[in-house]
Amino acid sequence: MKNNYSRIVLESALIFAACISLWSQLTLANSTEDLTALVNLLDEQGISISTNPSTLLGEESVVVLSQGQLTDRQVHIYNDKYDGQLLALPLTIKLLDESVINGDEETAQERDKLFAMALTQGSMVYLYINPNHFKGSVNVLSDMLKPLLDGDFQDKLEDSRFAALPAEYIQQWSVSIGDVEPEYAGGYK
Amino acid sequence: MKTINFLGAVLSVVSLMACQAAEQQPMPERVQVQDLRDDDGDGVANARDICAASPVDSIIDNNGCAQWDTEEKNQDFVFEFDYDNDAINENDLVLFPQIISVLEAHSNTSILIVGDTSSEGADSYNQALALRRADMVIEKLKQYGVDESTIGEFVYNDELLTNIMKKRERRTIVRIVYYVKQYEPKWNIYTVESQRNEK
Repeated sequence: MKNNYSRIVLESALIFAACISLWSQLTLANSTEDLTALVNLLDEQGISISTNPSTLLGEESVVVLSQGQLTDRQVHIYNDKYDGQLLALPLTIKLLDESVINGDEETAQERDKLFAMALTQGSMVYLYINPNHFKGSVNVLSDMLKPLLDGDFQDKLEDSRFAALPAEYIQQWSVSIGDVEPEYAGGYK
Repeated sequence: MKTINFLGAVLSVVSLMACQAAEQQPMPERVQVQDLRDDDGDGVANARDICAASPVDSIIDNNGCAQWDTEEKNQDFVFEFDYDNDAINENDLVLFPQIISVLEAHSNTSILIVGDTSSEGADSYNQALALRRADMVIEKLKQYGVDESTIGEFVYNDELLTNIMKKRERRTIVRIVYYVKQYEPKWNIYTVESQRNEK
């Protein structure tokens, strides 16, 4: 009797472990598919992008897409080699499955709410950019990235089930790429 | 006196009613879109953090990244030889796999070969003997697949190393120099004590 009970417990544990393993595999696969969709979107914008951080080191790629931040060590290896600071720009976040997008009638506040909801469960997708590549030519960086802030690209993001960037982030981007001067009005913007 | 009190009360009621009648400004609704969590627990919110998994006991900069230093380290392997003999002892053959594992564990390594002999005999003879011993070790290293370009200079009876090793002996020292990335640790209650111990 006791043996039977132990066997049932063991089998249940094994089934549970198998389910967890399958779920994590599926999640990983989804995450990779999501990044591929983003890479294609950015490719349409004429931005060649890699998902492998080591390509930044070899200067094979100027922009790297990363689900979540790069690790401290990866950033350090880059900074150590180029004696500079990687530029990290939050691009978007995967929308929750139950999020409903209202198309053209959607207000900025509704978009922000979708973004905030996605933020509670997901991790941000970042663009890591090698600023060394653009040394002395800030306009090139700005010209390359500005189209990503346009309404058209943001709509395309939503069509692919990614959240549009809130205005606060767009302001941060503009400052980071040297497009606008940072403003001080009741606090840092 | 009663009239004044009555008028005061009426005025209070009227002014309160006026406040209530005034148009109320709606509070602007603002959605929190910044990620204020701190996933790696480094004290910098995700919204401003560009480095994930920062070491917990490191000094963190404004971007949420640790301060890293490159420290030179070395590891010595000593091959002992018989008197006036350049053949590698069988007992020392186990050192070669250990050398390979250290080389494989680190990138950007270099090897320094230090020849040494006992103090008997003429200096020129001893130098030639040390060179022969070093050649035997280098040849064996090559057989183990060590890239020749990583094997640096041969030093005979290096003053600094023999000072560290205390005395002259019949041996060849293989010193592997490698570089380790280390983050700068932040202060804790044991810092002063550990620094004192290092000295």
